[in-house]
Amino acid sequence: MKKIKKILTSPVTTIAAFALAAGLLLFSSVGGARAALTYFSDDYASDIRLEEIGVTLLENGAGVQGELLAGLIPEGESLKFGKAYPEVLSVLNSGAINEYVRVSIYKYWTDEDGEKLTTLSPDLIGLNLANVGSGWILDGEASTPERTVLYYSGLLGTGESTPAFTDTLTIDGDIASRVRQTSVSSGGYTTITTIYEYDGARFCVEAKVDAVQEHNAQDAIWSAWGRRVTVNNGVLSLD
Amino acid sequence: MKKRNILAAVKATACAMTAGLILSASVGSAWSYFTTYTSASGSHAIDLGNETRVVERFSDSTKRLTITNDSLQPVYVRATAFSGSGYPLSYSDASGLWVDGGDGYHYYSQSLPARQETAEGTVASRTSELEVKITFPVDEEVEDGDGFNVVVVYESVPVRYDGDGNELKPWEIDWTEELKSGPVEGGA
Repeated sequence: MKKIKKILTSPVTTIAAFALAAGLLLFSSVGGARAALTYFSDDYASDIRLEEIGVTLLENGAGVQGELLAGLIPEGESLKFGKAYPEVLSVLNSGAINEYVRVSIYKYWTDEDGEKLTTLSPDLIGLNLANVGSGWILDGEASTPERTVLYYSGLLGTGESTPAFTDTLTIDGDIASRVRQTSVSSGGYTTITTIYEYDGARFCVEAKVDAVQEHNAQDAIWSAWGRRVTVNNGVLSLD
Repeated sequence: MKKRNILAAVKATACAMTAGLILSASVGSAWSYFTTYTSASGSHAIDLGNETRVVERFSDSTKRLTITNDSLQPVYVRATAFSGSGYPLSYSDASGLWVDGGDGYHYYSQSLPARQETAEGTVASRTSELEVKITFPVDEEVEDGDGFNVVVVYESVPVRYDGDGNELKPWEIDWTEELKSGPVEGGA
């Protein structure tokens, strides 16, 4: 045992082991280089094409670039309470592959600085849904008074557009009966001031369109949108 | 001591493997499917503030009322007057635009448009004159300096429209609609 220990701790053994390791390292590098060289062959051209998925929101037939309601009120006219303004929203597949789409619509009120006014009712912003039950499916579980979620049941082919999911926008005339009152008492008199609650508020509409690939759509929708759906013969339904 | 070192090394390796697995798993799902989205939003301001004023001229036992709209909002107006029971009032209108609603009020049959901005300045819209004449009993002699009260009440509401954008008639809207108010702020 002592003899073995002596051999292992001797400088000669250390130098020999170092030389052996260096040799192995060198040869393995050369071997690797040689191996790489053997894979070279004649010139080979490869063509890799990434599939493009695209979606566009259409407002009254025209593509929308981030801004909605720009042409809602005709020039020189003020907003008419109770009038149903045309607001036809639909979705265009502007990509190179087929897709399934869903839409999330948000309605709410803000002050002039853009701060959300949660005490004002989204119900008074009447965005009328269209084709629900005939192409579009309302996701009641995900919808609230402020948010509406719709799924298009069909597969949307390249260049195709869906039927409209909204057709008109109406601001309910009932806003003229919603008031806020302040009371000030002075000198034996009480002055009650009534102010329109919605005066100066801004009604806002937001629409977000999501699209997902056709292939393996059921799992893709679960993964990307967190919603269980069934896709059967190209027709989507909510679970 | 050696055991502790080994345990620490095992722990570090396990942590590194777990982190690697988590990272690789999330990367994998993000690359799994083609998805995209687009979004758009828009807004418009509501202008409900309307300011109307009544101007009264009195002569020959008759009050002549004119109501002006100085706001950005078109409005409907209606007016009525009260006097003592022994002093009946009668209404007349040369323009024919004031209509007796049968409920004690006279309705101006047209909406008062929003004020106009012109080169000369702001121009408010106004109604034609509604004349309210007080009739004194025949056996009562009225002398200069006698006092009596005729109280005029007028109201205005923003114009309402049907679904096609046509104005409703002033008497077609519900003037008795109760205002919906939250708690009154302030007070004694």
